[in-house]
Amino acid sequence: MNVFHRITLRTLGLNRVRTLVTIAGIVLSAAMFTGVTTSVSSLQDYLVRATIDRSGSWHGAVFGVEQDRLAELDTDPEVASYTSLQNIGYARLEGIPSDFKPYLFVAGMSDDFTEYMPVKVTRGRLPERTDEILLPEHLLYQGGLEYSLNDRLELELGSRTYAGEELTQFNGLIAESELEAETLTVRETRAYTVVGFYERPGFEDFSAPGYTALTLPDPASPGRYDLYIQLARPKGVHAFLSTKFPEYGSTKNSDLLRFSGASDETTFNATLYSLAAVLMGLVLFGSISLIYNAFSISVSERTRQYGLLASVGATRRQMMQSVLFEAAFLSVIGIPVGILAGLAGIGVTFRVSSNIIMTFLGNFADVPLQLAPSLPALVAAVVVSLAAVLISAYLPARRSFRISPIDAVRQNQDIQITPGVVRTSRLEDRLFGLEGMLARKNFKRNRRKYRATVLSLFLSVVLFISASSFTAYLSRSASGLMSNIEFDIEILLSSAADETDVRVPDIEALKSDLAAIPGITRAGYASWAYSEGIVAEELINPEFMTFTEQAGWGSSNQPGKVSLSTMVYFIEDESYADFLAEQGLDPAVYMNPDQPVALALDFVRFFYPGEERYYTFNLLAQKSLNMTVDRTKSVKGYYLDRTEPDGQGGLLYIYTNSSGEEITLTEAEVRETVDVRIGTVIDKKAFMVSPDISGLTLMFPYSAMPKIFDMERGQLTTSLFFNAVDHKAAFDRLHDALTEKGLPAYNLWDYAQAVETDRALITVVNIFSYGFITLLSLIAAANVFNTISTNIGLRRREFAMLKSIGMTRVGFRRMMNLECLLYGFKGLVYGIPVAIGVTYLIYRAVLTGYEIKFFIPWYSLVIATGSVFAVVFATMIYAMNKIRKDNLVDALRNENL
Amino acid sequence: MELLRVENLTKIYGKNGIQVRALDGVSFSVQKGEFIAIIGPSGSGKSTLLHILGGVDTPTGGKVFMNGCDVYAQDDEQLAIFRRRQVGLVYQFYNLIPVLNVVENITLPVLMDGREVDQSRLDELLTTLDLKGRENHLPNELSGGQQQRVSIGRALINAPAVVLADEPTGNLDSKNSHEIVELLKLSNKKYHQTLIVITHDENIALQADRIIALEDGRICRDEVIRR
Repeated sequence: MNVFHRITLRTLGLNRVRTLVTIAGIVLSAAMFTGVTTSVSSLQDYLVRATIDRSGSWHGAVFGVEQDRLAELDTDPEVASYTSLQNIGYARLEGIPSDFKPYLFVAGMSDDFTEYMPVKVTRGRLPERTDEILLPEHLLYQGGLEYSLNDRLELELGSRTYAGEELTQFNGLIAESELEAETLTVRETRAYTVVGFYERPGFEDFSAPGYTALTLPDPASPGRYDLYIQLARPKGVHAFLSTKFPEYGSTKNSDLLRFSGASDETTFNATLYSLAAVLMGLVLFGSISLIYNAFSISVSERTRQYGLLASVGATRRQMMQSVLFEAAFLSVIGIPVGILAGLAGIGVTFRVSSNIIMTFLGNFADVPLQLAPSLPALVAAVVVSLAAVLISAYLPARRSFRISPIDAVRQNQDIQITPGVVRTSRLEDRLFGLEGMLARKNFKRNRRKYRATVLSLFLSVVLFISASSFTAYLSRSASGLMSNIEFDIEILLSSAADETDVRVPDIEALKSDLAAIPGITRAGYASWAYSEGIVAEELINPEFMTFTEQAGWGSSNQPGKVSLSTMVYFIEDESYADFLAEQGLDPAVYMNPDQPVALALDFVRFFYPGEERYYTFNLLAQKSLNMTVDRTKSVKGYYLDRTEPDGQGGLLYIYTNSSGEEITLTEAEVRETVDVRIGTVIDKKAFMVSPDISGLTLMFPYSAMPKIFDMERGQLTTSLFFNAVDHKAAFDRLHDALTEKGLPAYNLWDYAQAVETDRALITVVNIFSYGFITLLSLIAAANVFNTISTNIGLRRREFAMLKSIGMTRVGFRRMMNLECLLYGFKGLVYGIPVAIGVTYLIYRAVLTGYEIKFFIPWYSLVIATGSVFAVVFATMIYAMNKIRKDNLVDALRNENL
Repeated sequence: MELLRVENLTKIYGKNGIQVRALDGVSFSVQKGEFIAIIGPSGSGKSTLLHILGGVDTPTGGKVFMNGCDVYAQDDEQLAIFRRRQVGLVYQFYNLIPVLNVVENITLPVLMDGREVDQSRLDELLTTLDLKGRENHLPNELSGGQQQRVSIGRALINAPAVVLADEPTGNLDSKNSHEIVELLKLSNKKYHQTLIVITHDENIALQADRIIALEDGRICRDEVIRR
């Protein structure tokens, strides 16, 4: 080993603590770099795998392709692989009510189909013969048909044509409209045995007209295929499909493309990568400053050493080499450790929080979240860290090579004082005494060195407080949004505008049945309708009237009356009675079957963008009053498109459906006007009520419904509500129960899940942001430690001199304390205002979605301040301890210090 | 044989306002094997002259020729080699590398060359310098006198053309001083080492062959006192 390396290594060993801190800095920066990139790549990998699990591993799909085209794909260099479904035929199913999905689409799977495409058998097994068939689950719960294993199906298979063209799964159902509908030409009848059921396939588009039933390919079949193609270069899928298969219907697996980064849709990747880039920028800044600092603060020591070596005859190249050797040595230790630490850190984080993360991402239970580091990113981590170290070692050294050896030995360049720069104010001198003056002069003298330290402190303070604000605001807004919902699960039984003609069964019996399911703690049902409430102007809160005038909102068509959007609730009698008891209200009044009286909720909240704030009011000026409620008829399958004057001073209501057909109804047919009496205004809502915060909410017992609204004019939206001990288990059981009863189970909503998801998101964000901040703060602390302790180490002679002329230990401590205060103070004085500014920006961002008052997370300010001073003081104490034992004269004389 | 020639050497410190002429047109030449003592009051430019001769400081004007070669016409690389092989500098404040032991400090110029150390020469030096038994000691484990002897060893190991010593005994007691001077004279006599020593000590100056006196950056006296 040459002598320069020997010197380097021994010097590193001599200043063990400083060396370790420098290595720690390298480790931290490599770790964070690795952590950020690995998180991003693992996330991406997870999303890709989850998408493949859900919809299959393909980039582009082409429908109804003739058999002879398949050979082309075999030889096409752009095609990495492909798999196919043979179109055996469509069969019309009896009993399916759906307007848009009336067929069974029988398809034959190619040999490798299940390798690429998601075929998840839930019951039974895959078909092994051409007369065996696998049916999709959604045929049962959505289509409403009943099939079991080993059922024998006789299917009349054929093809769909329209205007002479054969249609595929790509073409939605062309139903009767102005033009003719498609026709199914039956070709043959086949018998199949149901050998199994599989989960609704992700590759079947929602608009596809046939439920995909899978079997084996039939050699005698007409020979058209749906192809699912994997390209060698996914980005070229669009060009591939449009040039090679322009005459066929085709589609792309956009989710997969997006997540693999091959999509034209750049927003997802752009967002992800730019976020990662920002984080990386912060990491780089923090770690480079640490590493640079570590090298530059010892440059005065090294300057002397380099001068010495130069005077004995070392060439500049040799000395530069020794600098690079030092950099390389530290990197060889630090970078691998850092990368491993980064991977381990993310691995542990994933393990600990995988449930939470997966909940937030959509809970693909079959696909676990894995650590998937990206090799190019790791290589980049190595390169960047190495570059940082090399630059940090090189630049300060270069400065010291420029001066002549003797000047280096004498360290003439180290302290360059421009007169006037080091002045301190008289006032401060008086206040803080000699020690204070010395402290301040030291500060001004070592401008560059202390600036880096102050900058690290500043950055840490800002980041820490900002992260705390971010998570605090996020938590508050999330809990606020969800706090109103007190039920876990809702089953939407019928919607007034529902297309499907589902009959609402005896709801009381249904509720009792379902409430008996183990784990259900509370059950109830309610119906509600949206309507227009008309109230006399004098009964409205005048403040609200002023507001609407200012806001320029119109009032109703009728003079002297105000129109308010009004929700009318009919709550299951049993629940309602409990509610009345709680509120101390008389059931004789509010549950009077002959004369229904409503309870009203009149609290409203509007966000007024003009002033960027929320306004809240109580709408009604008195507690009990009479009003009218107008309900507009809903027509099944149609929506209210517009109104037109009928030429006689009234209005015609025109309804349209999805096919464009119109129905015209008169006002009398459409509008139902009901007189309603409000018994009292209260501020508590009953169980199951989700009040309308932009208008009135009226509550009645369920039994009052026929008295208020004419049931002939249409059903109200009705739901069952449940609370449960374990909402997931309850959800599954309710799902099964509904299926058994032959009721659609797709309107089962798990609200508790949504709340959990939101909370999970916040937890994930917390974990990552605090983890990140902690690491950055560690870097800052290390930076500060390094700077201050080495600074002190370099000033040993100075301290010895001060001691020798009589500065006491107390005086020393005072001087050091003042220096500490200066560091800490500067870091905080710059950092806290900036952090508050960032907090304000966060507040503004959250405000648009949720009403919230501006607040500053004081606890984080306290922690930041305390930590800053703790680090600075601890460092000082440590360094001073080391010097305290110096023998005065030796220190003064000894140039080896 | 003329070993060293100095022509019109000038060194100015400081800028614009405050300028100090440390050397003001110094010229002289040195024969091989001469033992020269440079004397003069503080601030007369003695150290500056020595440092420039040793290649560790750059002159503002004038030339230095060593063995016919213009020292300051060389590039940095060559100058470094020059410092390594052609001169041996002994400072008043020893200037040893703190992390290297005695042997390593002495053989530093050789190690920088990447060459093998001549063991017999090293041995001889160690004996002469009375450093036997302290080969592995670090500088902070040595006394002042021992440290100075190490730095002399470093100056001598490569048998340079000229040894330049700046107040080598300034920090030593009388016994050590005497020994050091004997050492230097020995190397001068035995190895015909050209020796230039700056000193305040009259006794030492009188042991030299020639005395050059500097004052205010100029030579005021150049006297051969011994043939």
